[in-house]
Amino acid sequence: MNTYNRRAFIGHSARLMGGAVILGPLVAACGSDDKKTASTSAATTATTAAGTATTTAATAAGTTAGSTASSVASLGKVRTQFNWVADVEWAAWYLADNNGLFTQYGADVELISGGPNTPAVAQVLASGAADFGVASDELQLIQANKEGTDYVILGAMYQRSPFGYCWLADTPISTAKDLVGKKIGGVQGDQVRIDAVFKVNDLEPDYTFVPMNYDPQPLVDGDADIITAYVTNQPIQLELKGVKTKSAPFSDFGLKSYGDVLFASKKYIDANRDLLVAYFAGLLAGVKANQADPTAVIPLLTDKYGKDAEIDVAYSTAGNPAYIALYDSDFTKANGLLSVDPAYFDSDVLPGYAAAGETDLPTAATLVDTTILADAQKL
Amino acid sequence: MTIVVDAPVRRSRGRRLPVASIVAPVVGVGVVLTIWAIGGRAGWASGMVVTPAEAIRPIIGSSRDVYARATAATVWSAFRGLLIGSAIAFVAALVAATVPPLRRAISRLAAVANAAPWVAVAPCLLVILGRDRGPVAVAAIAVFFFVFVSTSIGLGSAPPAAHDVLTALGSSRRVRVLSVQLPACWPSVVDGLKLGAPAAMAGAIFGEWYGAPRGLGVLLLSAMQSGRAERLWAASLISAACGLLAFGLLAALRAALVPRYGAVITQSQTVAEFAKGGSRVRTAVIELATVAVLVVGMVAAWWIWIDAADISPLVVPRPSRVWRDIAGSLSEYARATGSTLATAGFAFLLGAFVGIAAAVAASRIRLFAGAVVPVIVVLAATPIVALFPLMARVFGNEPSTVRILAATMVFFPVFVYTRSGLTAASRSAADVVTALGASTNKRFSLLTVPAAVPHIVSGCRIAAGSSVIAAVVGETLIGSVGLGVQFSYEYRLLHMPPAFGAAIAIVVVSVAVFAASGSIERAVHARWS
Repeated sequence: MNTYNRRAFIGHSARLMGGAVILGPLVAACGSDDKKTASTSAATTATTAAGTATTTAATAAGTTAGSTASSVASLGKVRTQFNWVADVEWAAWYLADNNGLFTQYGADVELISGGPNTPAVAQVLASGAADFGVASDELQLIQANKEGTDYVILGAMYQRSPFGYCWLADTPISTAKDLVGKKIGGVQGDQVRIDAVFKVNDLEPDYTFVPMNYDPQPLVDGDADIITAYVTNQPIQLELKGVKTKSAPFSDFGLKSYGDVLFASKKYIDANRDLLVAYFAGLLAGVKANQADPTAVIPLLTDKYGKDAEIDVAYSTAGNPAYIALYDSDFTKANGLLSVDPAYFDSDVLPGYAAAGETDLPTAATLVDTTILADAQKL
Repeated sequence: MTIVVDAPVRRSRGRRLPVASIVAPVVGVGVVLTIWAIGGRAGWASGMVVTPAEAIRPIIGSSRDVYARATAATVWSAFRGLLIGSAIAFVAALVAATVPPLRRAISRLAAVANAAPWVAVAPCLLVILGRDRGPVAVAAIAVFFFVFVSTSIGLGSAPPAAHDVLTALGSSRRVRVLSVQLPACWPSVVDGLKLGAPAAMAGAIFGEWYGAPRGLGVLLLSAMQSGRAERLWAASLISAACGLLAFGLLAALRAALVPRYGAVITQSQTVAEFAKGGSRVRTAVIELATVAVLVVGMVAAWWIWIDAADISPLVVPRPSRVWRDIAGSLSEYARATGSTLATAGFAFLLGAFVGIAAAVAASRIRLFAGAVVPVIVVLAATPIVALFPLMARVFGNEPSTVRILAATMVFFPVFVYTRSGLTAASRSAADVVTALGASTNKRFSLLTVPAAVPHIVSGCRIAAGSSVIAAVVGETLIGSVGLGVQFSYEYRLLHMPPAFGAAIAIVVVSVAVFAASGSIERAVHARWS
C-alpha cells in the first residue's frame, strides 16, 4: 500500500536522463570458458563501465565460476519483496537473477512483485511471507518498528528517493514557496510528506489536498496543480503521451531520503548473515550490469519477469536511465554502490521526518547496519 | 432474494409483434455501440473513452498471450472462490436449517460476511493467506452470501404439505431434509450461483489488486497507472464477458433444473421465518443476545488467534488497542461515519429513483425495454466494483463521482426487483379489472403498483447494503472524507489500530444499515404481501 502513488511523474526526466550517461556494453566476454561465461562477463563489464576502483566482484566471480564450473553451494534462499509491480525499477535484481550473479555467490532468490494496493512490504515481512524487503523510503520502517518490528536498513538501491512532485511545464513552480495555496494531488497518506516539505522550508502547510487514485490524469485535467509522483515514472509516462511536465524529487525541496531502502529484520539478519552478504554481492553485480547496459534488462522484463504485466517498452527504455542516475552520489563514489551514510542519515534524513511530525525517531546507530554491504563489497 | 434478471416481460396481448422482441434489443445494443463509437472517436473524458475497435485490439493483437494468461488466472481464482464460498455457504445454510438454535447466529454471521467491505478485509487476507490465495479468498467471501441466502430460501421452499406427510409418517428431521428439502432447493442454489459467479469474478479481480502475480486485476491496474485507456477497456470487457458467460451458463442450468425440481419461490418465506414466533420484546431480546454472543465470540477468536499464531501487531493489532483508539477519538469516528452515511444515502436515493423510473419505463414503453434491458442485463452480470477505476477515470476525480459509483451499485438490484415486481400482479386480477373497463393507467395504479411494492422494497433492502459498501470503495479510491478515506489513510501510514478501527466501523455501519432496511422490508411485506 505504500507505493500507491508512485507513478505520477515525468517532467524531471530530461534532466535525469541527461545525467544517466548511457554506458554502453564496453567490454565483450572476458575469456572465461566455462558455462558461467555470460554472468562473469556481465559482472566484469559492469565493473569496468562503472569506473569503480574495485574489480574484486568480477574477479571473485570469475574465480568461483572457473574453479567449480557451477554455483557454490547454496547458503539458502532470500525471498525478496518489492514494493511495486514488475518494472525497470528492479532492473538490478532481474539482471542478477537472470545472469546467475546471485547463485554464483551462493544465494538463491525468489523475487516477489508488489503493487499499488499490496500490503506494505514491512507487513509482508512481518507476516513471514518474505525475508528481505524493498521499502520505498525509510518512513515505513520507522513506523513499523514503532509497532514492534525490529527492521534494520542494510543499504539503499537509490541514493535519492525518486518520490517527489510533478507539475505541468507551464505551471511556474521552482521552490517550496511556489507550493503555497496550490491544489496538490496525492494518495491518502501523502499529506504527511506534503506537510513536511512545507515545514522543512519554514512554511505553514497551506494547500488543498486532491485525493487521487493511481493515475496522473487529474494533473492533465487541471483538477490538481501539482501531484506527488515518482520522477522516474509518471513524468516519463506523461511525456510519452505528449504531456509536457516538470518534476523533482522531494529532496530537491529540502526533504531528504533514500529510495528503495533495503531491509530485513534483525532476527533474520543475525541468523542469515553469510547468506545476506552473498545476496548483496550478487545484487551489487546486478547494479553494475544495469549501469553497463541499460537496455539489457528490457527483454528480461517483457519476456520473463514482467510477462504478465504488459510492460510498456517505450517507458521502460526511458525510465531505466532515470533510475540509474539515482544509483550514484558522492558518498557511493567513496564507499561503493548501495551504501547508506549513517552521518547523513542523522543529519539530513531524520530531521525531515521530524518535520513531518514523526516523534520518537530512531538514530542511524540502531536503524542502519552497514557491515553486511561492506563485507559483500570485499567478496 | 431471488433476483430474476431474466424474467420474461409479459407481453400485452393484441399487439404481439415477435419482430419487436428481436428488433428492439438489436436496436438497443446498436444504439449503445454507436454512442460508444462516437464517444471514442470524439475522445470523451480526456480520451479515456475509446472506440469498441480500439478496446478489442489489445485482446486480439500482439499482447494476446498476456490477456489469455491473465483471463485464465482470474477465472481460475474466481472458479475456486465460487466453489469454496458456495460449499461453505451451502453447509452453513444446511446447518441453519437442521439445527434451529444455530439458525439466528448463522444468519447474522452471513450478514456480516456480506457487509464486510473487501477494501478493509482484503489486505489482511492477503498478508495472512499469501498472494496466490488472496484473490480466491476474496472471491469466496463475495459469493458466500448469495449462495447462503438462496440455499436457505430453497431449503424452505418445499411445500408444507410434503413436510406434514412425512412428519405424520414418523420420519426424522434429517430424512425430511434429505428427501424433501434438498431436492427442492437445487434450482435455488443454482440461482445463488448465477448471481455469485459475477461476484466471484469481481472478488477475484479485487483480490488481484492487492498484489497477485497475474490476472485481469493486475492488467487493470497497470493500464490505469500508465493511462492506457484501450488496455483498461480491454481488461474491463473481458471481465464483463466472463461474468456474463458464467451468468448465462448458470441461468441455462437453472432453466434445465426447474422442470425437474420445481420453480423457485420468492423470498417471503425467509421473511416469514424471522417474523414468526414470540412477542416483539422477546424477539428483540433474543436478537440482542445473539449479537452480543457473536461479538464476544469474534473478539475472543481474534485475540486467541493473534496470540496462538504469533501474528505481528503490524499485521493485525490487538483488540484492546483498537478499542482504545475508537474510545479515544469517538468524535472523529462519528464524523467519518456521518459523511459515509450521507454519501451512501444520497447514492441510495439517486440509484433507487433512477432504478424504479427505468423499470417503470421499461414496463410501459416497449422499445425502451427492448433497447435498455439487454444492456442492463449485461451490466448486471459485470463485476462493477472492479470497474470503478475506469468509471473514476470517465466521470472525473470528483466527490460526485463517488456518489455516482455508489448509485450505480444501487440501481441494479432496484431495477431488477422492480421489473419483476411489475409483472407480479395476478393475471386473473388483471383480466377482471380490464373486463370492468379500467384503462391501462388505472390498471397500473390499482393493480400493478401494489403488487410490485414488496418486490421494490426487497430490491431496496439489498441496495441499501450495497450503497454503503460502494460508498466506502469509492471513498478509498478518490474520496476526501469518510470511513473509507480514514481506513486507507491510516493503513498506508501503518497506523494499525485506527486502520482496524475504521474497518470495524465500516462493518458495523453496513450491518446496521442492512439490519435496519431488513426490518423496514419486513414491515412492508407484512402490510402489502
